Amino acid sequence: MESNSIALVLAGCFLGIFTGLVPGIHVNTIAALSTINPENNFLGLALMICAMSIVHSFVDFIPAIFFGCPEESNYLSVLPGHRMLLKGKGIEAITLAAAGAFFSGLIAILMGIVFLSFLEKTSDLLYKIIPFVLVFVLGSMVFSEKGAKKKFFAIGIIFASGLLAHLVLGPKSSVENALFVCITGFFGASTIIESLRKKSFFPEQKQSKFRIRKEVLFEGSLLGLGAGALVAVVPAIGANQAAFVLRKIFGNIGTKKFLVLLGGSGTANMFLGFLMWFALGKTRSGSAVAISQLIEATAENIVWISLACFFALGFGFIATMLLAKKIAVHMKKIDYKKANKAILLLLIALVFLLSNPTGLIAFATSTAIGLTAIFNGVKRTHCMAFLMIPTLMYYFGF
Amino acid sequence: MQKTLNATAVAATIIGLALLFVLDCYAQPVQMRISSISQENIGKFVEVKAKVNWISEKEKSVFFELYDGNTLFAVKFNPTQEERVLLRRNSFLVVTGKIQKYGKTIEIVVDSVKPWNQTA
Repeated sequence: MESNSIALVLAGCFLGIFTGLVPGIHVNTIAALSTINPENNFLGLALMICAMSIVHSFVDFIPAIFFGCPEESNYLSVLPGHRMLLKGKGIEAITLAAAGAFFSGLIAILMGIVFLSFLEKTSDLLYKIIPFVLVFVLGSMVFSEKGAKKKFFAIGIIFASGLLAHLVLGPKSSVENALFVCITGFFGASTIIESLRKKSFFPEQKQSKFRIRKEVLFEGSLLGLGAGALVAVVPAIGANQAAFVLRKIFGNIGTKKFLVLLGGSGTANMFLGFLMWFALGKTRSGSAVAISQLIEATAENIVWISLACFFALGFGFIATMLLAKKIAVHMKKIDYKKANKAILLLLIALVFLLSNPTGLIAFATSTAIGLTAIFNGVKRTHCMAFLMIPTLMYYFGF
Repeated sequence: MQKTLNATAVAATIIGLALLFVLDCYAQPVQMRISSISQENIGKFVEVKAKVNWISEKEKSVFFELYDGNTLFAVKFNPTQEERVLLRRNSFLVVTGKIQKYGKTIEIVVDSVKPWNQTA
């Protein structure tokens, strides 16, 4: 390992704070950009991307809960997180998510060998059952909507998202960075537009101490690990859907445990995704794609990756706690509406810079689909059909 | 107000999808030689005329290498029966698809395959 690799890991941690805090700057974008001119230290760059991804998975709960700017991976956190925010318990909500991220990530790293051995033994079976898992998840999500009208809109959103995917992800599409553009529209811009429409405010956040019950942390972290493993193994499923599936299996688990689960699933998935690449050559995230372009999937490299992720776990947790408290204190001084407007303009600017005119059309369309879900009280997770439908079409031979 | 906003969102969805559909229908590939395909062409829809150097068939995909003086790795997902017949070693083909990077390799994800009549 080159001598500047440690500096690159540290740089990755700070980049993870940046990508986590700024809505729309996705870790995949920075990961992809960093492979353009990698110079010589390929391993160092790969470790930087790993560290950035892990820290990002902690920090992105701050804008999701404080600003209502979720990414696909933590969208479900916004509702329970916002409920706690409105009660002045925003810091507690972020702490729960960060604690879940830390413990689920730690268990994932420590049990990496078990996961690898599981993959080795079940890869053929997994390939056969993946399409059925996806159909089950899609069907469950539709049927979980209450009332015929909501079910109708859920199906409509799934259809629209799937059609959008066919048009922007297909070989003939000229949309650049289509995934970034559409995810930003589905989950970013639509949330901010709704936030601007309503009279949003930022209540005073309690800085007092609170306790997290051991069983909430332990059970939530294990569920987070399970959700993360599901996301790592099954293509096109996001952390939200995995959390949804587990909640269906285990029933109502309560707001706090759910936030721990969601925090854990994002971080565990990120690390387990690197193991998927090592074991099966399958990349499930932009970070894994970027790493696959830099280094080979060797045992030595996966050990370095594990160490970098381990370091980033601690860094991510501490950074999140410090930032959450600082931001909570200063949020009252910020004009919430103006901040949301600025973020929306930033997202539009990013789409404009990273994509092309056709990309702007795709962005507007995905935003409209997200807003349709919001206005009809339907889960925006249905928009993940954007990835699930093309995956299903591949598995079913279309 | 809520009904108006809802109708606007639904209308915008339909219009957006319609516009993208029209653009998709009229998309034309850029004709390129393999030697001029590079990182800068990633994401572009191109047409390449070349010979198939080698081929490897799987259940849901066909991997092959195109050759026109330079080589380009290609993959066709869920090929039709007609496409499987065309995709043979040493056959001359007109291949359209999107340039992308997989790992460290630039490749073409094939959309369509047609026979290349070299005398035309």
